[in-house]
Amino acid sequence: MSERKRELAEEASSTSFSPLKKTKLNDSSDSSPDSHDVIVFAVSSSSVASSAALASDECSVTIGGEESDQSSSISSGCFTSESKEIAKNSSSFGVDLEDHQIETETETSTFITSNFRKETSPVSEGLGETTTEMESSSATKRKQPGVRKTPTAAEIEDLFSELESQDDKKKQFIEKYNFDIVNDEPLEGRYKWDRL
Amino acid sequence: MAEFMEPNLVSNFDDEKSNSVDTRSIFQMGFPLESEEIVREMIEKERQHSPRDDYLKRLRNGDLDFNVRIQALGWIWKACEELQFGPLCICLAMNYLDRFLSVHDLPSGKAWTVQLLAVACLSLAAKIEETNVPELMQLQVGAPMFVFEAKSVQRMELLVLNVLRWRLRAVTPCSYVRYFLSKINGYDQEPHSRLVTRSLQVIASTTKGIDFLEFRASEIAAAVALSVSGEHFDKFSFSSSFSSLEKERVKKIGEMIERDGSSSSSQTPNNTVLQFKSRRYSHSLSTASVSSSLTSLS
Repeated sequence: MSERKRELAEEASSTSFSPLKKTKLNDSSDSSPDSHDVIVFAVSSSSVASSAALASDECSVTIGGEESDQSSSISSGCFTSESKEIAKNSSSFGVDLEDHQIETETETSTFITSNFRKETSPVSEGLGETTTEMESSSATKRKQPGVRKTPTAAEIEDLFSELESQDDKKKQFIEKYNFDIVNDEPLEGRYKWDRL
Repeated sequence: MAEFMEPNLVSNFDDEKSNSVDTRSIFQMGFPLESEEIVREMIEKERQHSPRDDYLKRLRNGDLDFNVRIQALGWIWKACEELQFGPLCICLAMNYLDRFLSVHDLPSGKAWTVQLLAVACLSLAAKIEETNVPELMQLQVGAPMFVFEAKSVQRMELLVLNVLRWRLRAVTPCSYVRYFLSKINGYDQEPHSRLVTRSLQVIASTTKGIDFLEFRASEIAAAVALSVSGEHFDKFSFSSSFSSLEKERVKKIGEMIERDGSSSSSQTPNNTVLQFKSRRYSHSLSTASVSSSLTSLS
């Protein structure tokens, strides 16, 4: 319950953060992505942005791997909040800049943590899948019978042909001599059979 | 006929598995013993479910390859042990095998053909007699030298069915045993399930030798019932129940059973060889239950 309330508060904070972005977008003539980068870096450094400062920030980001990861995380978070704003079509003004900066920092750390949490579960899922695959492979091995001889299809075909031809010969004999050799009984026909 | 016989076979099967009092009371209420009329009808038909008359003679004089039957028999017994099939299934499988071999020669020099025939006969018997039948690939247990695809076994099954004229619900000694036990012991009710179980095991063991092939199914059943009941053949008066049976032949079977094996007393030239072979594989193939059963008889 408490966690849900915190999440709701965070969402409210992110929503309130959005109008500030809009204002800057309108002011500047740069493209959207660049504007986002500017805003993000300014907030994280907690200083007013200038062209020289922007240049130095970008250089530091490109050098450090961890920083670039955090940057991408932050960017994704910002995009998410922006999407929410577009969906809700809500706006508010009159937010104190200093308070907003503090809230923004909190949001940033929250985004990073949530991303880490999300990354953890796929790993465990992967482990589960691996285990399942191992089980299935072992089952397959168990099902496979040992190496034993099997006659070729041609050999089996020859056997059935020979046995079936024996059947035909017996039928001819029975018809010719009207005697059932299987049941050892005489049948109606040309010959008369007496039992000895 | 078949419809009436089936419950009896089922009850025989259940007897073999369970000795509980509840089961016995259920049998007493649910499954009547075979009537006199049914038994006479079975005796008339049993010859149609037997190998051809000259089968035993040809086995003894070498016309038929004696080892073919031994090889098939060996695998069938081993598979039945591993798959937990009962003596009823063994008797049926051996019945199909003998009937087929008595009218069809397998090509010589190809051992795998014997194995394929054995698998087909056991599969058919299991489908008639058992409630849990594994798939054809899983049926081929006991580490056989040859293994066959399901379609090959099915084709051999069809061939066996045609040769046996689709008469699979065969009259075997197992069909009579409960009837004879009830007559010998004077029971109006179900004979004790332990007697039935032991009788079925003894009947199954008679399939190991060829010498019992000389006798009819009803004669073997009567002799086994007398042996298991502890009756002496000389003292027992053959009542109306046994009027259709020849006393001397039944007595001879009893003597063969008491000798604890399938030893032959025939006068054939191959007598020594046959006896040696019979004894050797009889020992190697006997199960604990059959051995203990035969021991208790002697």
